[in-house]
Amino acid sequence: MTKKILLIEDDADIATISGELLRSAGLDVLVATSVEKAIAACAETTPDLALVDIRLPGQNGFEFVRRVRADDRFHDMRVAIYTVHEGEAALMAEAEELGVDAYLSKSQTEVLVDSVRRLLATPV
Amino acid sequence: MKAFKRYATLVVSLALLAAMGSLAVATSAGANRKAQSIHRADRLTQEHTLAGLATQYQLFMAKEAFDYAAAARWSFIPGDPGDAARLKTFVTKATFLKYAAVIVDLQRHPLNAYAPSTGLPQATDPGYRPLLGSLLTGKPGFSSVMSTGTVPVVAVGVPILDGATPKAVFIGYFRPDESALQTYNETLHYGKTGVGILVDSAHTVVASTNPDAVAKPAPAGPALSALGAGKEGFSEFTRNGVRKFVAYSPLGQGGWAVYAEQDASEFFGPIRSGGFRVVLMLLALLAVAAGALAFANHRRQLALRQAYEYKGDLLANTTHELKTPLTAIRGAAMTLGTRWREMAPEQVDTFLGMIHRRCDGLAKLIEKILIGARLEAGRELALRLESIQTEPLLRRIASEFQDASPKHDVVVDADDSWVGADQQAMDQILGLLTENAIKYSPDGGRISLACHREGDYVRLSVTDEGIGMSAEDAERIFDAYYKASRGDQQTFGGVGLGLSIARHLVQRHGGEIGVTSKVRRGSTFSFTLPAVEAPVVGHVQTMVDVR
Repeated sequence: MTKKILLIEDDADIATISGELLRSAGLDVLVATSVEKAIAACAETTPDLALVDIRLPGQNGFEFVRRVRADDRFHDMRVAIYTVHEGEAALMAEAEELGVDAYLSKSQTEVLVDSVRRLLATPV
Repeated sequence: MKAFKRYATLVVSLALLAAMGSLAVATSAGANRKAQSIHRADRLTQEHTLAGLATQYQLFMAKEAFDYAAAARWSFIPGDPGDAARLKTFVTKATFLKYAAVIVDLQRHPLNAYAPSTGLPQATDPGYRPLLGSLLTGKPGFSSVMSTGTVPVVAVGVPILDGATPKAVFIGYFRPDESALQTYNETLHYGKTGVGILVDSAHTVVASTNPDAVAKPAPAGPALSALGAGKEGFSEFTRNGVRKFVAYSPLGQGGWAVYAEQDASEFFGPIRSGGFRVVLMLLALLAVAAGALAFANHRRQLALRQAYEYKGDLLANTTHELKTPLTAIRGAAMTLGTRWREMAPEQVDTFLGMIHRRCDGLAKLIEKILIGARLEAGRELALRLESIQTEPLLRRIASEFQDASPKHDVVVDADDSWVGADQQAMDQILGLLTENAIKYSPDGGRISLACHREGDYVRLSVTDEGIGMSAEDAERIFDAYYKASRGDQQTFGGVGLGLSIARHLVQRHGGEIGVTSKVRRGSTFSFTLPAVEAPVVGHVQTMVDVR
């Protein structure tokens, strides 16, 4: 069964590029541009993995993680931070504390598909 | 210089404090000198009035005695009922000496008397001495205050003359505690602590503002000593640890005198209260200065903390603003590199367009950051002034932004103005303002670019129907990186340098820039540039870059 990826990203170009790469790898990709829209999308069809940017309009990506981690409906959903702020200790620590499955760098486009596949192969 | 700025508030506060303190002291001291002089003159006048009245009273008493002594036909026979009746008539009708009357011979033997049941002082009372002393010198005599055993009395004696020869002595008595002088004295006001006192030659109180003091010894003081020497004056002294002042005058008759005393604390009240006012003013000034310093310090710390927060936010913000387009460019290039064979031609175009667009955006952003850094380092931008027609410029800018943002309605309202300005700077100013207007406007919102001549200047403006801003934001919106404090960079992006650069460029042209805004209604950013009448071909003024 095709795995569903929810990409929470407000930059249209990044969403287009990342979406193209993931779709080309045979994955279903949904894009949400804000936390509110992402929660609504999750409620409609629970994705296998959410890739969430940190800096988003309104609530930030950590708020999304906090909300889905507190909601039993999304127990089986993996969550990864997807950001340009790679290597920032404070942000990584906060992400880890919230219980994310991975902290992915947007800049490393070439390893995005591999990283996503590895995450999807990991038992929840 | 920085140190001076840091302590400028302190220095100014202290200078202000010192100046106001000096002014307060000088003003108060001047006012108090005046008040003291008025009080002193006032007291001396009152004391002179008292002295004058007492002298008049003595004269009237003496005259009353003289008149009656001269008018009555005395028999000089001891115990004569006729003389007794005459004495009774006198006492009954007297205005002043209405207690009792006596006639004595020159050897001081009583000839006749009329007195109430409360009696007369003993003939041997030493109080008579000054009276008799005066008589011996041919003047009317006044006794000291004496006592009948039950009431105080004062005797006034005059000779009864037969031609120019004294035949006997007429003595009239009055009660000092019931005299008109006492009644008058009680009406005098010397404040709460002041007293006006009439004393006899033995320094017994004949009349006083305090009725209980009558017929008792007057309290010792410099006035009595000075009066003993026949002097009048004004002095200060201490009695029982209380500082007092006194004004005093001797009277012409019988060694009597008047003086007025008052506690210095009350007499010098204006100085004390003036001093108190000065202290209060200084305390108030100190409190104000301390408050101002605390406030200044608080603001400095707040500014410092905000600066640190700005720097932190700025770093995060700039990282995001630079890395996001780079990521897009890199991602697009990589995707094209690995997948262009499988991609549809229009998809390839999309990715190529993406790279192109993000490169332009990145270049502009870097330019902005570099200009910001130069301005922060105090390095001016070079200008090449030329005559520019504003309408075509606005139309070009509007057209560029309309193309880039078709969801907005970009319109122009321009008159036929020309400005003396740097072409590139004008592009930057209008570009920055228009970019901002679009960024903060909802889709479908109208952006109006306008220009109108206003005297020697042309006013250019960019109006949007966007989110607007608070008055507090409007005040600081042109500060570099100010947007970092608004917490909206996650929504709207940007590093917060555009408006500060626009302001600098406008000011470099000698113009002014400002904003009027209402939250959720929109904003109008407007600026002025020097107007020129007509295109001046070849007029180029170069302002040299200070680099």
